[in-house]
Amino acid sequence: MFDPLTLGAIAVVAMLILALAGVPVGIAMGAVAVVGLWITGGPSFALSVLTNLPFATASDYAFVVIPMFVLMGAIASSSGITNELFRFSNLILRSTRGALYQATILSSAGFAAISGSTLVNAALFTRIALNEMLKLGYDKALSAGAIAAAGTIAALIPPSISFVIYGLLTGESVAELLIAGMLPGILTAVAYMVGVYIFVRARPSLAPEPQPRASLREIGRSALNLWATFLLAAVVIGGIYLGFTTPSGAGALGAAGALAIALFRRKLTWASLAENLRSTAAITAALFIVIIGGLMFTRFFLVAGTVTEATDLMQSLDISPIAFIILLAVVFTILGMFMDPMAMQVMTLPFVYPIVTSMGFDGVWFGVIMVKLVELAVLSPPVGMNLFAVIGAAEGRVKLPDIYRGIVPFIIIEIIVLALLIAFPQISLWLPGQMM
Amino acid sequence: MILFTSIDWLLRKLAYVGFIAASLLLLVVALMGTADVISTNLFFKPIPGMVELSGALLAVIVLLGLAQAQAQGAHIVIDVATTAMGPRMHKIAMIFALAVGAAFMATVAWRTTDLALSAYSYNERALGALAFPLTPFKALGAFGAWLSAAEFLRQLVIRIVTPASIDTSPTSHTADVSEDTADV
Repeated sequence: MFDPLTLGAIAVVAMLILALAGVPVGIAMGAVAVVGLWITGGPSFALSVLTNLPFATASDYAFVVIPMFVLMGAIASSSGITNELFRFSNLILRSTRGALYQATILSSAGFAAISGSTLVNAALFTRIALNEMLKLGYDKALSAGAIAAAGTIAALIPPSISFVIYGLLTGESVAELLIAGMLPGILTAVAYMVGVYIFVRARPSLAPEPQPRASLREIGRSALNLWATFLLAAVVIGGIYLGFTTPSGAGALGAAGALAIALFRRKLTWASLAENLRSTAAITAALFIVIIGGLMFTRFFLVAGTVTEATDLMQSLDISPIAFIILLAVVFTILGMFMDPMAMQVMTLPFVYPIVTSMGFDGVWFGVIMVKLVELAVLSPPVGMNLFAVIGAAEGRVKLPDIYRGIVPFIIIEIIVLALLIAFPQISLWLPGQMM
Repeated sequence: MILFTSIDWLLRKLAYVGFIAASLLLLVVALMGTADVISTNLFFKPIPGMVELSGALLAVIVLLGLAQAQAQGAHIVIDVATTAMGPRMHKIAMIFALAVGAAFMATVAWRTTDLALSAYSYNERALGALAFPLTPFKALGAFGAWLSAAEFLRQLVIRIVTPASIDTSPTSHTADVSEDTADV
């Protein structure tokens, strides 16, 4: 019989072979876990896990938050909220050089408060902003880079599905995680905006001459249109932060609120509502099979003793915590070259989380770092997912070499922000500490 | 051939009907959750059984949605290796992947059916203020899992009988679905 570490390593390799052969990630993890549980705990134990875990997971009220956040984002984006945010951001910033870069980042951060999906943000803002940027003479590479990078803010600012899944897989408080992402999300947006300001100052050819300042009346009228965004964000984030409701309740309220707002403003047709519901149902099913597989994999690691052995091994190696985080950053960057963020998170959490917490790191803080690492990976060439979201939505107006060039400055900013989050855990932990 | 075509048609229809039901249930869960939050905070009176009912409905949504997620190609898949393969190797990989998927989902369906039968045998009810019966939810969940296994099997048969030069990979009906799924 193999020792727990060898067994764990064999399971990881087997799971990767299945996944690379085209087996859906959740099923690859689930299938390997069942075989592993069969070997370590016996047939009756493996079958008992298979009987109870899938239905128990899918019927856990705490998981209701996932489809509700997805539905809220889908309805909100199809009801024109993104266009309003972009228009408003452009109006207040247009008298500065590089205004459209800044407007893209600001409105993407604003939309992040009602959407938890970085790829959707990147694809949406490509359709909204890229054409206008290119028409006005903005640098193609930096435009594409700004859109791809700004999309990642959605993974940090609540409602973030990445945090929900991290919380549900690790047992950390989902509410605390969601709130913990707020300041890092805002910090990222501010860092991007400052970075773009510096780039444009250093190389004025990156952006055309600024436009005349918008009148207060024009700005005011545009701001009034944003009531829906603020209302939804206030209901969801405020509800969780002030303890009025659970994340699942806030998600339900947000989804129903987005629907009510879209209907009230006559921005939603029956066809688009049906499409939103259908896409949410498909995403929900696809996400849950990954979550179920991930939880089965975690169960296998625990039963096999792999987690305990791995934790003991890491402690005996006496690696400094910071060196471990840097090592993780390198591993995630490599994984991000061929894996999507969700798969990366679910596949690595079962063994990374116990090691990290055993090293004395705060689980909520590590959630922020992990999401940041995953988002850094989706921006990294050659195959960062956000880059392809922009390329796909750009319909030939941007080529891969352009976006590879344009994303580099934002990757540097991301690394600086990541270093700040590692050096100052309070950026992530202060707000959750104030929760009621 | 006619038999296979009829089974194929029937499976697709069943998967789609299940999927539509799952989509509508999403709306029900959102409205129920909203009513509960409002009732709890304004009238200090939570709706009895809402948490348990939402959870049970979520299981139905997930399991009924699985077949259509596979049909639409919405599952999260790492395609870096398979896209680099030649047609013959790609066909072998797909057959392998679909067979693993079918076997796994059939095992989940078998165990969930067992769970539903056991719930039926002792008339299992939800714990909480509203003790509704759990058997219908578990039975619908088992049905959804069987549909998903059948969808994998349907695609497996199509992949086996179709020449390697023709790609039979499921494609998403909406680009947004795969974008969303890949993202989160």
